[in-house]
Amino acid sequence: MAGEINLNHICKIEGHANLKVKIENGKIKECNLEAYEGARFFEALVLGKNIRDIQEIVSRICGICSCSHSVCAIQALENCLGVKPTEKEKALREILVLAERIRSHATHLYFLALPDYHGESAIMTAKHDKQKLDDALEIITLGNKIIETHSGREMHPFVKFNSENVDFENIKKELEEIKPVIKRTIALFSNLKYPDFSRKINFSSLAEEKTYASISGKISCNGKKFESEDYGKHLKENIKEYSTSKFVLMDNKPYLLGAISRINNNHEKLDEDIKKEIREHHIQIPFTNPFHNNIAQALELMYLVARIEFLIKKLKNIKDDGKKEKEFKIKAGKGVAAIEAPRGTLFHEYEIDSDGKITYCNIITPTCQNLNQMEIDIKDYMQTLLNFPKGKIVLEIEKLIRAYDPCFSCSTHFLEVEWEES
Amino acid sequence: MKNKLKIGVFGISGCAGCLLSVLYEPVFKELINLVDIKSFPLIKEDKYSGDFDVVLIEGTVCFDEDILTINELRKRAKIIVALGACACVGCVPSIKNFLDAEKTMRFVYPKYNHLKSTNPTPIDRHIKVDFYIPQCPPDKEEIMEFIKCIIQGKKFKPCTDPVCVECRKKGNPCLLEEGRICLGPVTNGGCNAICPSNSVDCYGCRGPCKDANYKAYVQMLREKGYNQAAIQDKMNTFAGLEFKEEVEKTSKWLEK
Repeated sequence: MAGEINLNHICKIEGHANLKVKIENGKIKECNLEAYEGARFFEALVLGKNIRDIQEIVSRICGICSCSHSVCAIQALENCLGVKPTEKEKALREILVLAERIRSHATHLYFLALPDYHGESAIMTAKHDKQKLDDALEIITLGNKIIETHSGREMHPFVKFNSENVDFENIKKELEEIKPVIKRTIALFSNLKYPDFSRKINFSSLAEEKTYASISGKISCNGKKFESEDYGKHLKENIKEYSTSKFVLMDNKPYLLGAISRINNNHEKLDEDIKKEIREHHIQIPFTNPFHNNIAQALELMYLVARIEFLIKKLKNIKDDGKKEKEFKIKAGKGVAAIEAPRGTLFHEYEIDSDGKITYCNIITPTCQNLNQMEIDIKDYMQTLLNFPKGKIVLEIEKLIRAYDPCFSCSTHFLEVEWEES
Repeated sequence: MKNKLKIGVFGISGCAGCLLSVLYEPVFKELINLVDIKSFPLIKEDKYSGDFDVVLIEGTVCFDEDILTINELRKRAKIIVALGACACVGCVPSIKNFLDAEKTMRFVYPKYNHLKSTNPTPIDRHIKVDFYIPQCPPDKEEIMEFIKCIIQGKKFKPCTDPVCVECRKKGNPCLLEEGRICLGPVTNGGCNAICPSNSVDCYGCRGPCKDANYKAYVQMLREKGYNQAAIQDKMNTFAGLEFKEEVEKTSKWLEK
């Protein structure tokens, strides 16, 4: 078989992307995943802006992970100023980021991924499988409600340098009620018939000594760890001419982020009842098949609910130290922050001048970091499919692309850093 | 399905937040009962090639393909709706209009020149828009109100009173009095003053209020010690192109 396969305007992903594949003599010669979005130049848009305006701007990078962009920006800017968040703020920010992950995973699993296995009518019409639509929206709505309770609205939240007290009493009952829905979700997604595509992948995520890391920790990949401030020494961005996205390598190797990597790197820290689900559904961990990112997301839902319950309890026990707001002075500085956004580790870096105006900004989103691995996987997977009719190949490749839960809204605006080779 | 309106929900360059607002509760569940969603590429294979009664478009025009996309949709739709601040007023991406284009490109993509990019603009600079559902993110109740108006053949018109009207009613402390640049007096309301209610300045995301007294507003901020650059900077954040036009119409303060 020779020729080209072009997937234009891939549906059921966040943002717009095309895939172009060239085949010669039965071998795939080229496989280009192309973000098909206009560049929005966010890193340049914040230059000269006051630090107080930054989270309002960068949250607009992405509707599905706006909370992560806001929290990451605030933490990077705090690092510029040399101030540390209080224990209360850490707990509140983690709740926000986790609630967003609940919403994002449920949206991806039910609306974007499930139709690949159960057909489009699985969820798109009220008449068909009502239970699944209800489950999807119930989980999403819980995530939305926590975000709104926390910071004023469901999307593009109001995140401030000084967090106010939040009363989560109205959420407690719903966190309890969602548990059976999440168990159904785990059962559904761990029993889908996934293609057999086991492979060696470098899984990267934040990691901490004791907890399943989300808003702090070191970058951990294949047993190697480094501090987020040192990301510039390890991550290398390159631009491919066919895409507005940049492609990122870690220590010159492709790697994968997201739920699959977090579970692989941190599964020992999961609660016993999640481990029970893993055993019950015969889920093999560590995952080696990128399609299993769907299972990882479903498992994470259970972790996220339990962790939010824990953090709400913890918040009650954190005593106010009398100070209303943490105090800080505007001064020149630079700072980096890394947090686990729904699709993996997100980096924000800023430099500010003595007036609190931004003089430099670099944002590296998860999808950008996943693109190299995605291209390699697509190429290898497609090689095994070449004897099938074109329609089947396209369907299978789209299914693989969607399993990574790519977000092309996020990935289309990256700053290239000048690297010094050492 | 015969009598139901044929709807399409599309996004051009943007954050997908408005599309998600359509997907989330309570909009989506009601929507699938009220209308026939023919196209919604975020969650559905886009196989439909026929015409639409109503097409909702999210996003800012950021490259030539966006212009082609919306022109194509214009041909296929009886009613085009700009959904959210990007489509209505350009939103955050339109800040680029006020920056040096070459420097901006070089800062983000220093070595490469492969990018096709146009000045980020609201969609009505390229095609005729029949209705606007403003705000970033759009209010889900307002999306539902729009759909119901269309179905019942009623007129849909977003609020044109300034944000301050709702803000005062809610009894919020005035952020201008606290010495901040809040765009409440010069911005269309209808958002229930959500930002000031959360102690965040109004950034003007529902677009400039046509009847506002810009001269007096700017004068007041000047008296509080803000210079022209600071005021302009705020106005440029969400609806810069629209504010610029409005301000130029009503006063010449930009030239001072």
